[in-house]
Amino acid sequence: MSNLQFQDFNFGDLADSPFTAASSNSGQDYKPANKQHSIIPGLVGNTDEGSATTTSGLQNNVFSFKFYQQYFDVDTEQVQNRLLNSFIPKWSKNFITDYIQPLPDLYGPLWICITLIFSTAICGNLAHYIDTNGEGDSRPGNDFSLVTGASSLVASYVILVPFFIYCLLWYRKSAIQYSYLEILCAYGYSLSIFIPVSILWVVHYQWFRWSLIIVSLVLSGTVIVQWVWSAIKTDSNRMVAYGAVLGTLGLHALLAIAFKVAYGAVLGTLGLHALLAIAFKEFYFDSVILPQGRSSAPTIDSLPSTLSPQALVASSALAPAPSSNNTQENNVKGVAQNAVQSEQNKKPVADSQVRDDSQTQGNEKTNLTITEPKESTKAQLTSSSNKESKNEDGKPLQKNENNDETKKINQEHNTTTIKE
Amino acid sequence: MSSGPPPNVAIDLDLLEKEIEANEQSRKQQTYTDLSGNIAGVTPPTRTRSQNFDPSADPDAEFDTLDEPVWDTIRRDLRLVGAKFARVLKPDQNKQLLRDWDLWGPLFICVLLSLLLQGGVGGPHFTEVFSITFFGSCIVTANTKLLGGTISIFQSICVLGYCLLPLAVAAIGCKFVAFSSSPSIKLTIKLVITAVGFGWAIFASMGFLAGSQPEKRRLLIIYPVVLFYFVVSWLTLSYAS
Repeated sequence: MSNLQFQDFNFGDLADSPFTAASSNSGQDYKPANKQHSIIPGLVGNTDEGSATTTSGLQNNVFSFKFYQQYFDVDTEQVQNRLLNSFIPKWSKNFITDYIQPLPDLYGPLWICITLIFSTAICGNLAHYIDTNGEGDSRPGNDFSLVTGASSLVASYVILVPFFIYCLLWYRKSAIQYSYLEILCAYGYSLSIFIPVSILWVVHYQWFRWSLIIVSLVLSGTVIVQWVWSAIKTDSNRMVAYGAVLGTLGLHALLAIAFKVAYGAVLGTLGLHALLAIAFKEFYFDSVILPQGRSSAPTIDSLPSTLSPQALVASSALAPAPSSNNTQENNVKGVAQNAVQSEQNKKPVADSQVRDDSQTQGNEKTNLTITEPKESTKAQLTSSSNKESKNEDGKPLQKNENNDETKKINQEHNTTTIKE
Repeated sequence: MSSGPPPNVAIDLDLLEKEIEANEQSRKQQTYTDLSGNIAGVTPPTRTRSQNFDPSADPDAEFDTLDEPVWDTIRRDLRLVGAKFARVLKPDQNKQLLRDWDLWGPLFICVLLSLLLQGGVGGPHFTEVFSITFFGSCIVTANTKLLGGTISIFQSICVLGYCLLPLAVAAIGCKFVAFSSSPSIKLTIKLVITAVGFGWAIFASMGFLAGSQPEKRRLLIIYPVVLFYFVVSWLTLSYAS
């Protein structure tokens, strides 16, 4: 009987009491004391951990207001502390145990994510506006989709990645098992550095943008790695330990790069969107105007020869720019930047194509330029089978598919061949 | 002391109850600023605030307004909404008007803003703007309540919605600017109009929200309100044309 002793659960700086949520079990025996720390602190009756909320402890119904109120029990100073320390790595300090415990808050992650979403969207549009130098009063094409895209990205990152980390720590019975909300809180705060970074991304130098990413990644990544590592370093399988750290860093880097690409992708998606708009408009316009003046029977023999070099040329460069024609320049610029502007430009171009068909060579160039972007549309957007059908002598295939765009391309090349 | 005769005890109990109620009232009024208010239109003007809630008086009030013609009801509601608009545009000391909350005003303003800002080539849809304005104010209200603010939910939504009025005016102004001169001047004018609207909205809402927050969390409550109006201002600046 005398060898029954009270086991001391003091681990390093967790010297408070054996019953704090981060109480480390040695991982050997799965004590029922583990149940005290659950996925969400507050659902299971925790002992009072110094939280100044309700008198009945933290045991509350999920559907009651008080349940959520306990996660907003922070003061301005606490939030500021957590914010600042989330991207300032201190040597051998653990962000979660130092700043987030005993009670994680949801105020920080929620408002940091919302701020980040809108700052990314606003500064992305601003950067784009500055890049195009405010051409007219051009409204970029997929403007508002930056908001919706950024919100999906940020929300899924902040909700899913902590869940994976929590599952990993739980499965490996790691030394320190944080609760899910603590990890979520830490991740939310660690995104805070991307807010000033996204504002600074407006500056148009690529090297500056990349260096910003690297600096922010290093800072916030270090903080994250510190607490992940201290939880998982005693794992028996070193591969799991290193893999967890590397995976966390990798995901964080992916997020940062995704933001950067989202800025750059504004141009790319604009281009595609503009091309689609042009293609649709051209088809509609042509199908109305063209068949009045000429025979609409496509000469398919000439089709492959005219199509294939253009397809190859256009597919290698999205926005071809070799021409001295003014309308071509307008065309290319409109394609690359602004759907509205390009549509407006397309109208006079198409008009000139229709009316001046019997005239000079300038129209040939215009026709060729019209087809080139469309070819790039086709090259990029349609499947390879369509391409093949055009490249070969695709007569039976074209008779079978009533493809709108194929018809339109036929008409285009029809005009070209007729003039030639 | 032996108990007195029963009638004395009964009177004493009544007095005691009244005393207790009076004490509770004064205690309540000391800890909070008095933010009581009703849904607008139900309160007859003769009723004072300090009286206890008297259930017997209420059905009379309802019957008074139940028999009136519909046009009277609409006119009274419109007048109240108009009065609140004027109150937002000229913030003065009388805070009672916004404590009688109603949700017509916020609805009108959100629909107006959504109609003005929707459409366009890459712009948001009607539902996107409406969600941002209406559910945005709901989320900001939830944040205030969760952080321990003493304002009621509907009052908060009412205030945030009404204080969007300067931004709606700015959106209308931006739409008219679009019909004028060169791009950079257009942009500057739009920027100035939107900035003025933003500042006005913040000033109007701060005037009301000021008294209802715990001291140590003022910044935490104010920041989402500022963010909300900033986002709506950005939408106005970008898409009102």
